[in-house]
Amino acid sequence: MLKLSDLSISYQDKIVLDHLNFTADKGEIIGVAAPNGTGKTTLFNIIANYTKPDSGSVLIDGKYTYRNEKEEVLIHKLLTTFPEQKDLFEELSGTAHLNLYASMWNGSSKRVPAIIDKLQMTHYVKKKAKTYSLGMRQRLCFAMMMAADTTVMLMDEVMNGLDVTNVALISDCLSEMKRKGKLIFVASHLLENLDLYADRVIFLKEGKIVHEQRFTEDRDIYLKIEVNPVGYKSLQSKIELPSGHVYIGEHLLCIPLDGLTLPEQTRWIEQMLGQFGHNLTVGPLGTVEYYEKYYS
Amino acid sequence: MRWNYILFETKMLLHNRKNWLLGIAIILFFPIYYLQYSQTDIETLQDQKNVEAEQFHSIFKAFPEEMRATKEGQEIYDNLTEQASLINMQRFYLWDEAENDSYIADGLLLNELRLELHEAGNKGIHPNYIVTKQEIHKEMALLNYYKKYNVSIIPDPFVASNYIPAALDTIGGLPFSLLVLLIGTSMLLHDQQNRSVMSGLPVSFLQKIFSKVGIHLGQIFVFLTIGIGIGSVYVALKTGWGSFTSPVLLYSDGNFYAVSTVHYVLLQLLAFLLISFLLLVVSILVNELTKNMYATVFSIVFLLLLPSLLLSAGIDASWLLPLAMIDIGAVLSGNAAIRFESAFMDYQRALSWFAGLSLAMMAVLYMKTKLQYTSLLSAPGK
Repeated sequence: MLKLSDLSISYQDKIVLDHLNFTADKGEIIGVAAPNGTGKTTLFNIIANYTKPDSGSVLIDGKYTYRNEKEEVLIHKLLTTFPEQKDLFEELSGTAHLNLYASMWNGSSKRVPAIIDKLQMTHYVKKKAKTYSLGMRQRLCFAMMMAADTTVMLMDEVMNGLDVTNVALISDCLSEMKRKGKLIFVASHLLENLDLYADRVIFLKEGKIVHEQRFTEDRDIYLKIEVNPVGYKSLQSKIELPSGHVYIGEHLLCIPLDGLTLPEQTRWIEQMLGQFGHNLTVGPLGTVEYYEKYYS
Repeated sequence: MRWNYILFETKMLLHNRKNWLLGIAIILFFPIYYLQYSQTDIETLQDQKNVEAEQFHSIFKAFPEEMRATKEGQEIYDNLTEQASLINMQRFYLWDEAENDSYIADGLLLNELRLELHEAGNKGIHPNYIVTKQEIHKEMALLNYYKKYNVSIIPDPFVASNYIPAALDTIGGLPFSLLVLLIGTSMLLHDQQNRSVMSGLPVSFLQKIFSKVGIHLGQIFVFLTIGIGIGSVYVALKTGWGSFTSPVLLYSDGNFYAVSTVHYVLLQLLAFLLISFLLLVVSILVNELTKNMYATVFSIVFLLLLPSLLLSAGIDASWLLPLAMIDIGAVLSGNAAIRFESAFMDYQRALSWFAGLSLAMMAVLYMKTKLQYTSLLSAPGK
C-alpha cells in the first residue's frame, strides 16, 4: 500500500531523514516513536507531499507517486493527514468541518451523524469551534479523519489534550478502523497506548529507523529488574550478565530469557529475586522501554 | 468533489465580514455619489449652443478685414455667417421638442461647414475659436444617433439613465481595482491560516484557484449589481429613470461613436468583469511570491499607478499603457487616448488586453504548478 524508498532530507547541516526505506500494508497501524524534532512530522509531510525530500520517493497503492499534480490529487483521495487544532475554522461548527471532509472525500455527509455519536460529540458539535476545549477540538480533528475515511491516514499527535476516557475512545476507533483495512500511521507521545493497538512501532533516530517493534510476532522475553546505576555496577562486578542484556534509562536492567535453558532461566530469576525481589517483572520489552533505550 | 469545494469556499466567503463591509461600500457608493453628482454643474445643450453663438461675436470681430476682400476670404466669412445662423436656429429649435428633426438637420449642416473650414485651413479664424475635428465628429455621432433612433435631444443629465454610466466611470479605474484586490485578499487567506485542514483536500491547485476566483468574481458582481439597482431606484425616485436608449459617446480606433446607454453600461460591466478576473488572478500569482496578501495589494496598486507616475515625470511609459487602460471610464470616453496621446487606447484593445493578460497569467500559474513536480523545483529548499 505504501512504500518509502531511500527518503532523505536535511535542513542546513541537520540530517532529518537519511536514506529511509519502509513499507506498510492495509489493515496496519504503524506507531512512530521519536522525541520532538527527530523527523516524525517531516516524514508525514513527505508522505503527503507537503515537503519535498532531497531524494527518494513515496509510492502509494503500488502505482501512484508524486510525479505530477494529477497523481498528487489521486494520492490525496486515498490519504488524509491529521488537522492541527489551531487550524480549525473558529467561526465554523464541528458539523461544518465534518461535512467538509466527508463531502470532499466521499461526496456525501451521510456518515457524519454516526461519527458524531461514536465520538460522543453530540452536545457540542453544532457550536462554533472557537468555543471548544482542547479535548473537544482534538476529537473533532479525529472525527474529520473518520469522516474522510481514506485508506491511508497520517495522524500526528492524535492523543494530544485528551483525557483517559477519550484516549480509550479514540484507541477503540483506531482498532476498528484497522479492522476495516485502513493503514494508519500514529505519532504519539502516549507510548504505552501505542502498545494497545499498533501492529508495529518504528523508532526514528538520526534520520533512520533504528528499531522496528512488531507486536504481531513472537517477541523476546526479558527478565526486567528495576535497578539504579550503583546497583547495576555492583551487579556487574559480582556476576557476569548475559551478553544480550540491556540497561535502559539508568533504571531498568533487562536480561534476555530466550536462548537460556529452563534451569538457567530459573537460576537468573531466583538470583534477581534475592537481590531486587519487589522490582522484578518478566515479559517482552514495550514501546516505553525501547523508547528509553534509544532516546534516554 | 469540486462542487463540494465550491460550496465550502462560498460558505467561507459568506462568513467573511471584511468582504461584506467592502460590499456595503460598493453598494452605498451608488446612492451616495449621486449627492455629489447632482450638485455638478453639467453643461446642457442650451448652454453649449449659447456659448457657441456668443463666440461668433469674437470670431467675426477677429476676422481680418483684408481677407474679406479675397474670394477665399469671402467664402470663409460666408461659411461662418451660415454657421452662426444655424446655431441661432438650433437655439430656437431647442425651445420646442417638436423641432428635434430641424435641430438635427441644422446640426449636421453646421458640422459639415465646420469640416469645410478645416479643409480650407481655418484661415482667418482665431485658434481659440476653432472647433476641433474631434469635437465635430463627437457632435455628428450624437446627431446621427438622434436621427436614427428618434430619441430626445435634450436629456436630463440627472436622471438614472445618465447617472449610472457616470457613476460607473467614477468608481472604475483605481478605486474599483482597489476594491477588487481587497475583496480578493481573502482568497488564499484560509489556505494559509488553516493550512493543515485545507492543504490535503483532493482538489488540484488550478481547480482551487478557478473556484476561488469564480466565487469572488460572483460576489463582486452581486455587490455591483445591487449597487447599480439601488442607485438607479434612488435616482429614479428623485428625478426619473430617463431613457436607457439615449446616446453616450464611445471612443474606438481614433473615432467617436454614439451608442445607447445600455450598450455603454454593458461595455463598462464587461470591462469590470475582465478587470476583476485579471486582478484576482494576478493577485494570486503575486501572492505566491510575497506570501502576504496586503503586500500583494500594495505591489499591484503601485504597478497600476506606474503609467500615470511615469507620464507625470515625463518618462516614456508607452509599454505600460495596457495597465493604464484599467481606468476603463477614461478609455471608453476617449480621455485616456487624449491624455496618453495614443489612438491605441480604445475599448476593443483594452478588453483584448485584459483577456490576453488574464490568459497569460493563467498560463504562468499553470506552468508554475507543473514545474513544481520537476526536479528543478523539487530540489532542496522545498
